[in-house]
This record gives sequence, structure tokens and C-alpha cells, in this order.
Amino acid sequence: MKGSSKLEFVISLALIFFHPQFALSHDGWVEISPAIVETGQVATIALIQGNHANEHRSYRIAGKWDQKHTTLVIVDPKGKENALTDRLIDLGEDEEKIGPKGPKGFFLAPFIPNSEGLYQAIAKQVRTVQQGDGPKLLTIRTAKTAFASFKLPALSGAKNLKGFDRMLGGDDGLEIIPVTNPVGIFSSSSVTLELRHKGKPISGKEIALIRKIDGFASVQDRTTDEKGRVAFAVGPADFYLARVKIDEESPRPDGQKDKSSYESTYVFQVFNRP
Amino acid sequence: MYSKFLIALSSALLLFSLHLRGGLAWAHAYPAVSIPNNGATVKEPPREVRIQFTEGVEIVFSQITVKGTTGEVVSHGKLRQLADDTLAIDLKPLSPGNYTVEWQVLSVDTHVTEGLLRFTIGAVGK
Repeated sequence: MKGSSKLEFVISLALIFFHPQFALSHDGWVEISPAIVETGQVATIALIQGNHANEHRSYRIAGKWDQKHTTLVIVDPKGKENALTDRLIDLGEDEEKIGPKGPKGFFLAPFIPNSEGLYQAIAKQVRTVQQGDGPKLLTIRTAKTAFASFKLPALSGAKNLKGFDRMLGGDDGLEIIPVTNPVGIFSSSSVTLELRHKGKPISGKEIALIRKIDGFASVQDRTTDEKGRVAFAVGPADFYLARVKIDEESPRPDGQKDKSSYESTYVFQVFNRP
Repeated sequence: MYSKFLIALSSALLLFSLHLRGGLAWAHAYPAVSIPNNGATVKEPPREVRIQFTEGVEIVFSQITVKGTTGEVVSHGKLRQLADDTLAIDLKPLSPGNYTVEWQVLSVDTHVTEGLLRFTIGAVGK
């Protein structure tokens, strides 16, 4: 074996046995259809949970959102919040009639935009768990997407939309915010996203971008810069999903650790150029 | 030539190392096996309820409570972890009747799952 080959061999072994622990879990995301809808017509919002973060890194459905701990809100062009939580329809498997892997499926809610402009959807699932006076667990999941409404629905109208970079999820969780207009992204272009944790940009966190059709084969991983931003190149027209997860531990006086888990996703559609 | 060999060798070792790390969690934790079995009717009152989950669970964020028909709690003592994926809770002496097992666990992927299991203790002689 040549010297360089030996070096490659050692590096390979090092990568294998000292690679960072995979951050394995499921992600919850929100999809809206259509992404550009005629004002007064219905858009359908879907809350879906799947395999972005595990070995599949795909849109394969796994599990369901926990409806008891979930809220869904549509923010209209004027910033008014429209709660849809009570309108969610469970189209998943029966909670008590499924096998050992747990229920799978998704929730749907209809929404009719009454004015022109950008609408943003945010679903948030917050859970706290504590047994007695033991350590506390906090999990916060934030999933966002956006759509536009026009009297004459057309891509050309979406290019001047504003307000997509507004924080919607409060300052207690993790939130992906599009810096690029999410309803004006075309194939073979790029998209910039900003990650905020507890309201502030956070650097050094890995965001993955996954294309719906290609799944695993399309995954791009990028690390946020000092402004909390990442830029991705996007390929063919399709739905794309960005996801990130941060886990934190806080030591307690009794030697145990409180845990906090933050997840965030953002879904956007890439269009063919008109 | 060497590069192809190294890629193949690396892939094989990676799969092997993942196999060694059998504790990796790919999904949420749900009951795979329970004793008494979900929906079962047993003749003898069990002394404990034992649940093996589909993934490893963290006991400090997990709970199993067993209740009788009127909602009285019939489990007692501390939850015990018998294996990475298996929990058990002791039971008070039980009478014939229907019982509900409320479980809530945190899998190692930091997702909380919960649900119900049921079992019945049949009357003696039936």
C-alpha cells in the first residue's frame, strides 16, 4: 500500500469510529396546497410527521403530530393570526388500533384567504414532562411554510411579497426564517435561511435541506454562519424542506439533568421559471 | 484501485459499527410486548406490569400507572428499568376486573409517546 493510500485508510477508519453521534428523530412539517391560490378559494394545510432526521432522510410518513399539544395558526398579510387548531381533521390511523410502531398519518385543515398577499402557516407543538420532582423535559417543535393569495393567481405576483422574514414562533423555541421570498424561488437558484434560537440568530448549527421527490439522494447539510444564516442551491421544481434540531441539558443540584429539545422545519416550493 | 477498495471497506466497517451501536433509535417508542398482554384476560392477578418498547427509553422521563375500573391507582412503588427498552411497575394485590395501563415514555430521540393498554383478571372458576 502506498503512503497516500495508508493515509486514506487511517482517515477512513477515523471517520468511521469517531463520527459524531447521529441526531436521529422524526420531524414535523407543514405543507400548503396550492402555494399560490385565488383569493376566496380554499387552501389546504397539512400537518405531517416523517423521516427527515433518521436513516431515511425522506418525506416518508412516520408517526403523527401530538394533537393535544399542537397549535396551528395562519398569519395573514396584515399580521392577523387565524387559529386553525380546532379545525384540524385527523386523517391518520386510529390511535388504539395500530400495531407496535404507533399511529401514522397526518392532519388537514382548510383555510380561505380573503385578501391578497403573503400568508404564513406556523404549527407549534410544546410538551413538558416531569415525573414528581425529577428532571424536567421541554420539547418545542416549530414548523412553518407560506403561501400567497391573489385575485389572479400567478407567479409574477409573488415576486414582490414582503413580511416573510417575520418571526412567528415566539422567543422560546427554534425557528427557521426565510431570508429569500419563499413563494418566489425558481429552479436552479438559491435560497437563504436564518436560524433563530430563543429569538436570536444562532451560529454553528447544521440545517439539512431535503427535496421531496429525491429524498435521501438530495440531502444538503449546511452550518449556520455568524449571522445564523445558511444558503442552499436548489435544483428542479419541487417541494423542499429544511430541518434542524438542537438538544440542551441543564445540570440540577441533585446531579440529574433537565433536558430541552428544539426542532424546526420550513417547507417551500421551488417553481419552474415562467 | 485502492480507492475503490477503501470505499468498500469503509462502507462495510460503517455498517458494522452501526450494528455494534445497537442502541441507535430510528423511531419513537411504542409497546412491542407487554405482560399482561394488551387485551388479555388472565386467571392469576399479576404482581407487576412489564412493557418492552420498540426503542430505548429514558426512565426519568417515563411513567406507567395502572388503574382499576373506577380509576383507582393500583400500581405502586418506583418504576423499574429492566433493560434499555423495558420498564416494569409493581402492582397491589388485584381483584378480578378490568384494568387500564397508562404509559408515557421518552425515547432516546427525545420524543414523548403515550398510550393505553388494557387487561382483565377473570373471576376464579370462570
